[in-house]
Amino acid sequence: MNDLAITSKRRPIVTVAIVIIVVGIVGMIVSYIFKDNPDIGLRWGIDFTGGTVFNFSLKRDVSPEDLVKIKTIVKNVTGESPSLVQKSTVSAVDTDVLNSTDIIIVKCNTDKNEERRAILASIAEEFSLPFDNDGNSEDAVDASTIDWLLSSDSVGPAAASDLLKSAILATSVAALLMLVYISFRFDLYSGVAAVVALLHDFSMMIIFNLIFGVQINLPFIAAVLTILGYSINATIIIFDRIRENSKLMTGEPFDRIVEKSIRQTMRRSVFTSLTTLFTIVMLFILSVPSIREFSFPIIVGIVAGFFSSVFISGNVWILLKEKFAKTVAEE
Amino acid sequence: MKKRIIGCTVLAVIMAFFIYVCFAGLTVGSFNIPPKLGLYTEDGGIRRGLDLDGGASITFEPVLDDEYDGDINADVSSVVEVMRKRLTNLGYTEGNVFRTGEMGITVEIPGISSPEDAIDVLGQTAELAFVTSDNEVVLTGKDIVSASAGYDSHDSSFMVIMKISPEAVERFSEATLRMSKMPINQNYIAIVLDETEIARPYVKNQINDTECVITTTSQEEAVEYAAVISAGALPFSLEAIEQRSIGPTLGDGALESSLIAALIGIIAVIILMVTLYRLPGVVSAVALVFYVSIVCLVCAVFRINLSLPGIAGVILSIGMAVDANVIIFERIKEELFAGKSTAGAVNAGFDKALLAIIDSNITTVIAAIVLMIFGKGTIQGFAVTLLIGVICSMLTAVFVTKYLLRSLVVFGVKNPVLYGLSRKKAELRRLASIRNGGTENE
Repeated sequence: MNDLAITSKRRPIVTVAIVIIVVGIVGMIVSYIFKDNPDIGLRWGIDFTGGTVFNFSLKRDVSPEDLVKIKTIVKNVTGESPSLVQKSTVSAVDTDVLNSTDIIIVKCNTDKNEERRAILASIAEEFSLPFDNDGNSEDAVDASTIDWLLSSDSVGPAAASDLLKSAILATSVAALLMLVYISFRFDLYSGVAAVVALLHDFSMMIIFNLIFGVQINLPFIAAVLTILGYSINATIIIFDRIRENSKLMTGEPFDRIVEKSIRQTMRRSVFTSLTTLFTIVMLFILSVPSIREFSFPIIVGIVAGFFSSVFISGNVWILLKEKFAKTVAEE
Repeated sequence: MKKRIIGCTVLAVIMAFFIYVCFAGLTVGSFNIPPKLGLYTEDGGIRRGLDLDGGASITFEPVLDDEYDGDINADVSSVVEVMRKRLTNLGYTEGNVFRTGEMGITVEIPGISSPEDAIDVLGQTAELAFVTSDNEVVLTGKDIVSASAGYDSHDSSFMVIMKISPEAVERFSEATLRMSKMPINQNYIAIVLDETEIARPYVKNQINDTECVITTTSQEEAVEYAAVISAGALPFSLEAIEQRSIGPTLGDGALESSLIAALIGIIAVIILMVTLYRLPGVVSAVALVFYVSIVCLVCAVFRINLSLPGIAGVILSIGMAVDANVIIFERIKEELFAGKSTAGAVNAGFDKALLAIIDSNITTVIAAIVLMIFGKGTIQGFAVTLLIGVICSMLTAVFVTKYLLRSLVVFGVKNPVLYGLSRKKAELRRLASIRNGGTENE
C-alpha cells in the first residue's frame, strides 16, 4: 500500500460516489412516478402512496395456489389487482395459535372501510377462518379481534401526501442543519464534503431498498435521519483529526494530512460501525416485519456511512480545496 | 487514593441500586416505579405502545367544504370529546383520544386487530338531541348555534352558555314551560348524544330566548357538556384518513424478541470491547450496563410510550453509546504508543476526544429533534428514545468511564498491555523510551 492509497485515488472515488448519488436519486424519483405500477413501484409503501396492507396467517403453511386465490379475492372486491401478494415468514408469532410461521402480505390500493371488511370476510370464507366483523356496532368490542390477522394498515391519499411532504421536509431540514453545523465548526468546503457523503449514504439506502424490495415507509425516513446523524458523526471525527493534524503538520500538503488523519481514525471507524451493526443486525434477525423496514436500511446506511466517511468526505474536501485554491491563484 | 476508593464504592452502590430498581421496582410516597419497569403492568412505569400490545390506531379528519367558516380548533376539540364518549359507550374504556396535527383526531383502541366496525361507529356524525322527560325531542344538532363554557363570578358557579337558532325558540319555550311545571325529578330536558344520555339539566323557568344557560357543578363538566353540544352542531362529517392495527399474536412476540435482540446485542458489544481494549473494555462494559439501566429508569419515570421503533431507538443507542468509548480508548492507545505515561495517556485520551464526542453527538441530537418535530406517531417514539439514549450515553460514556479509568491508574494498574496495546507495541514503546534516555515512567 503506498503512502497515499486513499487520497491519491480521489478523482475515481468521488466520481463513483457522484454516480451512486445520481443513480439513487433518479431511482427514487422514477420508482415514485411509477409507484402504481406493480412491477416497478412495489417499493413505495402505503405511508407515501396511500392504500391498505394486510399481514395475515392462514393458520397453516402457505402454498403458491393460496396466493393466486387471494389475488382473485382482492380483485373481485376492489376491481383492480392488488399491487402485492407475497408470502413471508415471521419468527415472532405465536405458533400455538397460528400453527405456522408463514404469513401473507397483501397490498392494495383501496382505503375504504367497507372494501377492507369485504376483503377480510372473503378471505375468511375461502380459507375457513373465523370472522365476525359484520358492521354491527353492538358487538364491535370483541368481534373485531381476528386472531389470524396480524396487522392491517390503511392510509388515505391525502394523509399519504401529507406524510410524504413532512418526510421530505424533515430530511431536508436535518441535512441543512448539519451542513450549517459543520460549516460553522470547520469550513464551508468541509460542510459541502460532509453533505456529499450523506447524499451517498442516502442513495445507497434507496438503491438497496429498491433492489431488495423493502418497502419505503415512515420507518425508512427514521432510518435515513438516524444515518444522517450517525454517518456525519464518523465524518466529524475524521475532520477533527484533519484539523488537529493541520496544526501539527504545517507545510505538508493537504492530501497527506487527510490521508494520515483517515488512517489514524480507521480503527475507530471500523469498530464503531461494528458495535452498532451487532445490535441492529440482532434486531433485524429477531424482530417483526415492520421493524425490518427500519433495521434493513439502517444496516445498509451504517456500512455506506463507513465507506463515505473514510473514502468520500475527506477526498471531496481535498478536491474542493484544490479547486478553490486554483481559482484564487488565477485571480 | 482514599477518596477514589470511596468514590468507586459509591458508584458501584448507585449502579447496583439502579439495576435493582429496574427489576424490583421502587415506591417512595407518590413516586412509583413498578417491578420490571412496569412493562408488564398497567399501573405506572413504561407504557406499552399499541404495536406491542396489539390494538388499532385510527386517525379521523373533518371533511370541510368551501363554506366552512367556523373555528376549526374549537370544533376539533368538540369532536375529541365526542370520541371519548363514544369509546366509553362502546366499552373501550382503555381507549385513548388525542389530537394530531392541525385537524387530526387519533383514536387508539387496545386489543382489536380489525377496526372496521369501530371506524364506522366512531366516524359517524354526532347525533345530538334534547329530550324532555316525556320523551319529546325538542332540539337537535341543527338548532344549536353555539355552546361554550362560562363562569358566573356573582355566585361563583360554572355553566354552559348555549345559543339556539331563532326558529327553534318557540319550540324550546313551549317545552321549557311544560317541564318547569312538572313534578320534581321529572322537570328535566336530557342532553342525548348518539342515543346515550349525557346530562339531565332541570328546568327552573320557561326560556323564551335564543340564549340560555345550563349550570354545572364543575368547570370540567361545563367544558365537557359545551363540547358535546357543539359537536351536535358541527357542519362537517369525519373521514378516517389513516388506520393502523396490530393483532395481539404479533404484539406479544414483538416485545419479547426485541428484548432478546437487545440482550444479545449488549453481550456482543461487551465481548468486542473487552477483546479490543482489555481493561478499558471492561470499564466500558460497566458503563454500558449503567447506561442501559439509566435509560430504562428514565423511560419508566417519564412514563414513555414504548413502541417497537422506540425499542429500536434504545437498541441503536447501545451501539452508539460505546462509540464515545471507542474514540477515547483508541486515543489512549495512540498516546501510550507515542510514549506518554499511562496516567498521561488516559488524561490526554479523554481531553482530546471530548470535543469530537460532543461534536458527533450533537448531529445525532439534531436528527432526533427534527424527527420529533416532523415525525408522526411511532416515529416520534423512536426520536424520543434515541434522544434520551444519546444524551445518557454521552454522560455515562464520558463521566463514568473517565472516573473509573482514572481510578484504575491511581490504584496502580499501569501496564500498557492492559490498556489494549499489543505486546509487540508495548515492547517497542519501552525500548523507544529507554533509547530516548528517559527512564520508564510507569
